Amino acid sequence: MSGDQRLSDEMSALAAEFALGLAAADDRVRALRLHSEDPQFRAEVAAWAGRFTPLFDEVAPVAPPSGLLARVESAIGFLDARPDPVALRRSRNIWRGFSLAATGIAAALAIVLVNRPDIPDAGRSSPAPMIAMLGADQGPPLIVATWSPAARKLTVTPEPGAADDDHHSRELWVIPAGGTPHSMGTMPKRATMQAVLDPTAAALLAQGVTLAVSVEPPGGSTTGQPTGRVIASGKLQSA
Amino acid sequence: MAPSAALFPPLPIASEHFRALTGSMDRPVTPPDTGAAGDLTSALYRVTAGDRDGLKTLYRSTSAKLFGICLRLLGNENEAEDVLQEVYVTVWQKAGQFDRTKSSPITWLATIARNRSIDRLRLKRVRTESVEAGLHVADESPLPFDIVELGQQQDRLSRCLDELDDRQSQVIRAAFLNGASYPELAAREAVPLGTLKSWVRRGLLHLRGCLER
Repeated sequence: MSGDQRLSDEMSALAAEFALGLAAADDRVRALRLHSEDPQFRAEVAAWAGRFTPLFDEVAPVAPPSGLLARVESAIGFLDARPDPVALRRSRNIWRGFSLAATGIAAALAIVLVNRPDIPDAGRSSPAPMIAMLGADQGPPLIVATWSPAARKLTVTPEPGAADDDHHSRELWVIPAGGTPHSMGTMPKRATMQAVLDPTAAALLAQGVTLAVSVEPPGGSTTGQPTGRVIASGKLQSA
Repeated sequence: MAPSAALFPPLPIASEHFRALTGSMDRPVTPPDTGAAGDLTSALYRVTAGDRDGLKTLYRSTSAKLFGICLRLLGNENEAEDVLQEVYVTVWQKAGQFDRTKSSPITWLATIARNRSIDRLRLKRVRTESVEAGLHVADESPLPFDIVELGQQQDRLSRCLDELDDRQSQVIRAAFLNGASYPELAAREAVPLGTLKSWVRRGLLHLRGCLER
């Protein structure tokens, strides 16, 4: 075993656990750090993911409901895509990513607003604690946010290792269903950030809102709206 | 011993797109872009260019497979629909990151679908684990299937999984296909968490050795 470029068994097993989604707690934190810092570990994770892909063949195809393509197109911002109202009402992820054309987003959101008079709990905070796991597109959660409405306390734990560089900050946003992003400030470099929010900011943190982190100029966006790419996002849900 | 039949119906499911799955990520192979893989690759390139018809083509050829994966992992149609929508929106935005020297289009898409589903699953479990300490893994009734020619890679993986002891191979498959977590697997197998972890790790390393032979 052991050649120079071969990971130890222990590291390879951790990479496998991470690829499978088995790594939890401290192991996951460690794997996240290695994944962002160590190219060899990252390659091992990819290799493990590849080793298991033949198992996908054991999963039977199941046709999704007919309106789903229209939901996808509407979420992307194609204006003439008209998901049926029931499908749209059930949609939980209309807003994805800041990288879409702004007009597309606005249009998609307008459709959503018109068609979603019955969003449960929108705009109302509940006393139960909530959690959001913010993830990138292909991978486990990178940032965990917990929200205690009773104490108005927001706790954000960033992935270890992916600190800001000198040229960028990472900014946290809350996006109410069908609304505009509100900045919650820039993310801490490594440590957990905890803040007691004022009642106005607290009112934004309702069940189902999206939390997202974007890459911004140092100190945060100067426009009051996200300007860079989104590196992680997730929904706030009852804990 | 946990019965494996119900959890893992050993039915090779035909999927024309999966026939293209001959290149593995650990041994990059660039297959000639013909047939289903070629169509999907060109659809992905069209999506990268913002071509809506490319997205439609991609969706029509892959959504049933990806929905099957989301449904298998999440065990709930509404959630599977939500995740599937996220997957295609993601693909619309990130199609440019697809690298055909590293995986086939369907593998790339299936991996995104799996990762998104696992995220959702873990989030759900954070919410429910206090009340559902034991947690069950969703059973699936057998679905229609066809016999498919299994590629070399499938054969190799299943041969190597067969080399493991039954329980090791079952838990590894459950982790991949059902998204089972360590605590769930330990509860199912009625062994302490530490014992389960060391089985799995030994099994994984044996698997790696076997696949590299």
